[in-house]
Amino acid sequence: MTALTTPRSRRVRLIEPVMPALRVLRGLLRFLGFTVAGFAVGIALALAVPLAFDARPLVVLSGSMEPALHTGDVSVVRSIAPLDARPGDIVTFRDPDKADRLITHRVRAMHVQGDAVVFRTRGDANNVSEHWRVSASGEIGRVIYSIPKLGWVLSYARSKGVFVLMLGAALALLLVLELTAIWRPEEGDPDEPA
Amino acid sequence: MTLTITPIRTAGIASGLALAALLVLAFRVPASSEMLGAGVRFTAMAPGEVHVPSTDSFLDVGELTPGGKAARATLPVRNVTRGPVDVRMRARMASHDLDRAVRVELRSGARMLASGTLADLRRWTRPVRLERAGEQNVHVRAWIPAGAEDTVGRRVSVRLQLDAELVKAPRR
Repeated sequence: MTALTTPRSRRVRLIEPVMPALRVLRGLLRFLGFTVAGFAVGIALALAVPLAFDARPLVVLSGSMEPALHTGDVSVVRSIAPLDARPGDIVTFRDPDKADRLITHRVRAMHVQGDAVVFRTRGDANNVSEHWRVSASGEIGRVIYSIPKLGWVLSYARSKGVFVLMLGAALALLLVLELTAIWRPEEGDPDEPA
Repeated sequence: MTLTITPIRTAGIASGLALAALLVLAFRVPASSEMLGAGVRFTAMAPGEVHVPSTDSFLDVGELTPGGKAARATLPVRNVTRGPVDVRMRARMASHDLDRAVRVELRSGARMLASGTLADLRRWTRPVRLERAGEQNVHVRAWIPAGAEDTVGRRVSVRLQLDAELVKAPRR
């Protein structure tokens, strides 16, 4: 009975001597694929790990802090006591006029008044400061690092279709990487004649 | 398979992780190293008998720290009456935040007018005599002694109230 598929040893004999560059290219592509996967894992860790240390990622929604923070960046903000902030720090606080909104601006001046800490903050791109106060025993956020443009990705990912698409793309990438690893001709194949 | 795939996988993932770490490091926002001390601001309020150069503050410091450097200033006080006057001073301030933490010293030449806490300065100082059309410099020194607590970011605005009393000529 004739085999319907080409024997593995024969495939290896056909491909390897004819196209050695293909192996290099395939290896390079695989390396790039794993690099992208590693980068994605690293970024995910950069967003997730701070959660264990009283920090959280926030998407920058306006350009008031440019050039330090751009619209669409993700800023990772750590909770601190108001008295741990210093002039020059970029802090996140509740909008004194709209409590459900968070503002991230730079501290220009601060002082303690009774049991409260009074701040004067201003966005680097703004020409107006805001004054606000918070209890000394309360907490505010200090930006510890930012990830450029990731906010756009997260915003797109919020829409269901794009999220499914991104998930599909990630799974497809993994599938391709694994399949190429499985189907790759093996060296020292037992079928291969010496 | 293990010999070829594992190194590529490991190297690729390690490179990706390193790139992510580099990105985070590159966009790190370091905490500000600016010092936040206590602030003291002195303004002088003079009566009609004497003149001080400005109604603005003559001492304004925002970085007093426990055991740190003292802030110094000089307030020239001039007699504008036709006779000698005794001038004394006291502090008026709304806040009690730094009452016990800040030490103040007021001198006129070699004469110590007051020395103590900011709270002590709420009482009148010893008088300094100004002869007719005379002028004396009042040297103010403020500092926070080592070990003082709860001073970070606190600020106090002190109005130094001057009081002048005409010196009666001795009877003959």
